[in-house]
Amino acid sequence: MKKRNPLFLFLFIGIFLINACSSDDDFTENDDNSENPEIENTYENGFFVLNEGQFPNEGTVTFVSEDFEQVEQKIFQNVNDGMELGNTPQSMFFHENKVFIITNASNFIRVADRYTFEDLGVISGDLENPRYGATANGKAYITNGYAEHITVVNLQSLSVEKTIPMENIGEFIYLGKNGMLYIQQAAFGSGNQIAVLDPNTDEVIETLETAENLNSIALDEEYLYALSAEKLEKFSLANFTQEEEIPLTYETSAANLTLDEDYLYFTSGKKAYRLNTADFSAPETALFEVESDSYGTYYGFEVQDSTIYIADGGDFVSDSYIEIRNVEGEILKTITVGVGPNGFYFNE
Amino acid sequence: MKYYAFFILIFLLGSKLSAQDKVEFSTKSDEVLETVFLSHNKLKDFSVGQTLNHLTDSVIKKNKPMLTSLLQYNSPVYFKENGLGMASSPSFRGTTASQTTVLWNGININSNFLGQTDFNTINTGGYDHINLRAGGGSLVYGSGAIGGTVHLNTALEFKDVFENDIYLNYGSFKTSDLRYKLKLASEKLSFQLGFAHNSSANDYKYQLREGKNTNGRYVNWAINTALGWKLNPKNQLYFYQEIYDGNRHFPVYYLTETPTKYKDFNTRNLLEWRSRFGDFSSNLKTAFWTENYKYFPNAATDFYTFGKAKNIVGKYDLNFKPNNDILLNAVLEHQHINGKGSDVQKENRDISSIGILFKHQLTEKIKYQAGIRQEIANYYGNPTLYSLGIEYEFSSFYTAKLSASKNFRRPTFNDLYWTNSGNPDLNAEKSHQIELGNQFHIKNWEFSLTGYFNNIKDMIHWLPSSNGIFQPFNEDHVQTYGGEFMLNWQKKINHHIFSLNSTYAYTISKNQKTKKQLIYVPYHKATFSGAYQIYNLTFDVQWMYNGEVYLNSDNNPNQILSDYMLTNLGISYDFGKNNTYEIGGRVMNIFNKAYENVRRYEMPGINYNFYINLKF
Repeated sequence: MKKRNPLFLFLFIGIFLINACSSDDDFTENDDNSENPEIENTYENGFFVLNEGQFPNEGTVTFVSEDFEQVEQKIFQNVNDGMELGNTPQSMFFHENKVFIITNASNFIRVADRYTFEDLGVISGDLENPRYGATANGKAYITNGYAEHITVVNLQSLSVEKTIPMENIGEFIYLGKNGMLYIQQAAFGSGNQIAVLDPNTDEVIETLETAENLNSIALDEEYLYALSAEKLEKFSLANFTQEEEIPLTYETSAANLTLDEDYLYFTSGKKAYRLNTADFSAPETALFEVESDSYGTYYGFEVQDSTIYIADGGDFVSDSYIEIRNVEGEILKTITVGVGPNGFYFNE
Repeated sequence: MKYYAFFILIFLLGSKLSAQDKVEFSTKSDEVLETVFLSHNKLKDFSVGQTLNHLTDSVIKKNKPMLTSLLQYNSPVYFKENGLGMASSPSFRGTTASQTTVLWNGININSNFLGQTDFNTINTGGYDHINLRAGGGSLVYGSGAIGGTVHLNTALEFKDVFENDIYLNYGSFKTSDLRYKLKLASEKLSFQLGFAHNSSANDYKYQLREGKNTNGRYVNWAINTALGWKLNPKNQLYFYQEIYDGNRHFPVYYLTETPTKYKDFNTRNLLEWRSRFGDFSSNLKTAFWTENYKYFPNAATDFYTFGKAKNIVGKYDLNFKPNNDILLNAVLEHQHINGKGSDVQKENRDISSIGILFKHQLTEKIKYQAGIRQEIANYYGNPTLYSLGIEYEFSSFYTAKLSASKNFRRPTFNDLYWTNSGNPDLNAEKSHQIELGNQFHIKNWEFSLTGYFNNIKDMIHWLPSSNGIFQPFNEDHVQTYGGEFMLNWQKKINHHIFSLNSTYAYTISKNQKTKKQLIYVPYHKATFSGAYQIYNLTFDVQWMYNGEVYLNSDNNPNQILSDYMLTNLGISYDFGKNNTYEIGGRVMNIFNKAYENVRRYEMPGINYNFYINLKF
């Protein structure tokens, strides 16, 4: 079934609230770069928070330094004289010295310098509600929410090279250590497939079937982990067979699977859980519980180097915040970001 | 002029205005005498304590054909439009789009799926009268009448009449607006046919940024027919029909965006039997109306999502009038809705209600009304509604009004049944409100000042849930309060006729959790229109002001849409003596103001149109 984003409804419900970008109240110059304080390498050693903005709307990017002390809002607009980033940015990926920001409602990928955030133009064509991207062999593979194809972008010419027909729409896409691309063909609570694409031939070599309502996937060197509403499954990357599955019996559907240093993390309602990939058994007690009572709880969730990054979508009509916690669940920092923060991207 | 039992004489403007309920917006001297049909007497009979605006044909024609434009320049209602002619949502007294109810000849026609009426899908060319009533009206008009009600009425008369009205308008951006109306009647039969067509390339240039309004073209047409048959002085039969067909392409902001389009096809049929016996009179209505929308997420392909609903409404209205001072009314209503859509499983809903209203002219100066209504349905709770109103006429120039009511809005098909998102546990939105009105009438001046307070609970809000899917919840508690001012003046000195109408609304609409003003609700809105007629030459000016609005729920002062003023000028000349042979032209947005009323959807700068109007 073709799944549509129910957002278009809001056109008529009269609550499509539009804002250009988030507040610039917290504008702080990054003064770490004493060598060239102007602009060079301004955004190194920290992470970006992508704020999708209020639909249909301009998104923004917040930069946070790795010590969490420096915060700058809407960096793309700041650097590029107020130029807008694009309508509803969904995700980002890096390649060499460039950052690619996929804006799904405007059907283009904004390209910028990954360290200065100077605009380098947009890539468009054969993108229909683009969602996520991964790079392999000098190319970027982009999933689409409204089209059953992968869009292949040449990263040298920064143009669309071709499309690869698929059997379904695509969501998350990751490059495995074995050089294969893994594409989640499920979104918005429906779908149960993962396609394995060989970027050397651009052909789908295998399609994995998971439990219904596949939500998110994660990879380590040997396995692919697939989280659906009530199950966590483990597939071997060597022969693509399911090796293990564990039922998840939490009050709320599980979501946001992510992997960091031999641990899998996911969320359920306000709670976050973790389990060791070696044990692979359903955790009974939560690692922590967020206090947010907004509907946008865990709109973004990432774990990197034993630090947990949580984005709260808030009410999607005003600036929201992120929370940074250690693996014990203690809050290290809370930072105000833009409207509808949905992801974290580490610029190392 | 004959006064049938089922006709009422609305007013003689500028002389004795016995209907304190009205603020008349009329500029043409020969239209001071209006007959309005009884189907709308309910509006008049049971509006004690509230204020009505009445928009006549001449006012309607001064505006672009869609309802948004008419009300934007002639009422306190605030609109947001996704580009000219596109999806349009009202905010009446600081409420949401689905808290304004639109009634077509007394039948509630708000969408079963969206809860609201898109005011750019109503072509005003088909109606004889459009009335506005601010404030609660659920007791009589049902779901959604929280901010106010808009009444679209066809008026049939039983007198010898043969009248053609042809209106042809062409203007900037290849915009054409054609309206034709035929009235053919005898003392027994009355027939009316209306045809309206409106289309535009709508490719106006932007001023706030490069480019033009791409993919914004639209076309729509409407056919209205009405037939009345006076069987005998005590029994009359009526049939009304409307067919509306519209196709709009929605503008894109980036040229890379996927162009979308939206099609509407709506039909409305109403059969009505009015009868009088002794001290009783009754009105039996059977309506069948359908809505059908198709949304094309990619305008270039045939793939679409849709929603279609059929509504069958039966309504029996019984009046008992033992004397001139007392009116007792009972209303039984049943509505059957059958709806389905690409994301809504086929669903049937049955909703019944029973209501009782009492109106009493206590003394010459005091009248009051009281009513109660019970909703009977097996979902969204069964609210019991009430309404109370009282008016005291202190003197011929001052009347005070007080009204209090409980109103509701039921969840829509989308709210309840949207696949994977619908929330069947939703309750109805409920509103308690009170208003105090002051109406003054001094010589040719008429003005009113109204204050209101509205407490709305369980407001339905779509928000993302844990898996990223949007779902509706009874989330918000909002209080709105403010003041409305309306002014009307008309004077005739020999061959000079002057008229002036103005409205101003001050609106606070606060989310009670955050204590912040709702987004897209301006604190201030004002309108002004003036006309000067000398012999057959008429000049007129329209002006409106929309205050700034917040875009973010935290009322971030950096995230606003600026306020703006718009001015239109018109000139026309009537060559006719007994008939109307008028030519005219209008300059819209004469100061070429660059503005948006929804972020990212710029509206047109200066533009022109010319018209011919023939009535014979």
